[in-house]
Amino acid sequence: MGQNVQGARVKMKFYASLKENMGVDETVLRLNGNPIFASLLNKLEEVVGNKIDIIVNGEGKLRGNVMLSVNGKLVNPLDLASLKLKDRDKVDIMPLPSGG
Amino acid sequence: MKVKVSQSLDDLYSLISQLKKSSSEIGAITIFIGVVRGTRGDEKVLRMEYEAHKTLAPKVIKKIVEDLKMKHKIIDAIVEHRVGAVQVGEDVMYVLIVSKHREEGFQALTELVDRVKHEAPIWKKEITEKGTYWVESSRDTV
Repeated sequence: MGQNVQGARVKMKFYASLKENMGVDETVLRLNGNPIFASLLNKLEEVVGNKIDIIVNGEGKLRGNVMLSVNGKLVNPLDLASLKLKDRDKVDIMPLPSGG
Repeated sequence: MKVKVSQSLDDLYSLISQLKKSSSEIGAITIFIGVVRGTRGDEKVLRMEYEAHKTLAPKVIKKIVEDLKMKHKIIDAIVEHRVGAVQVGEDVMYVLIVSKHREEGFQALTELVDRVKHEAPIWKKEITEKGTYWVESSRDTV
C-alpha cells in the first residue's frame, strides 16, 4: 500500500460470528502518519476494548481462525506485519469459511 | 464456468442442460447437492442461515474451479451456493462438473466441494430448538 503522510481513513467490516461477537458491523478508523497493520489494531482496540482479543492473540498477531482482505484481496497472515495502509482502504475481517 | 452466490439456486436440470451444450467431448456429468440436515447431534435443526462475502466468495470459487480444470483436466463446472435462510431439507449448494470420463469427474467433484467449504468466505449459522450456533471451521490456518 502507498505512503500517506496525512494519515488514512480505513473502513473495517466484520463478518458472521465476528460481527456478532465484536459487536461491530462496520467502522471507519482514522489513522495517523503512515499506518501499518499494527496501527489499525491499536486504533480498533480503542473502539472495541477487550473484544480485540477475539481476533488478536497475546503476541498482538491476528488469530489463526481469522482471515483478512484488503480492498477485496485476501492477505496472507505472514504478510500482515509489513502491510501498509492508505486512505480509503477497505479491510474485511472474517472467520474461516464454514459454508456448504 | 458459472459461479453464483445468491438467495436462490437455479433449476438443476437447466444447469445440466447448459453444461451439456459446452462441449461435444463430455462423457460424464458429476453432481453434488448439498442439503440442510435436520439434526445437530441430538438437537433438531429448525433452519440454517448463510452469510457470504458478496464479492470475494465468487472470486475465490472461480479460482478454485480454474485450479481444478488444470489439475484434473475437467471440461467445465458450475458452482451455486445460497445465502440467507435455508430450511431443513432444502438444497443449499449445487456443484456440477463435466468431464470426458467419470474418474476425473469424481476426483474433481470431491476436491471442489471440499475446497469451496473450506476456502470460500461463506459462513453458516445453525438455528436449533435449543439455540443458535455459528459453525466454526476446524482449520488452524488460512
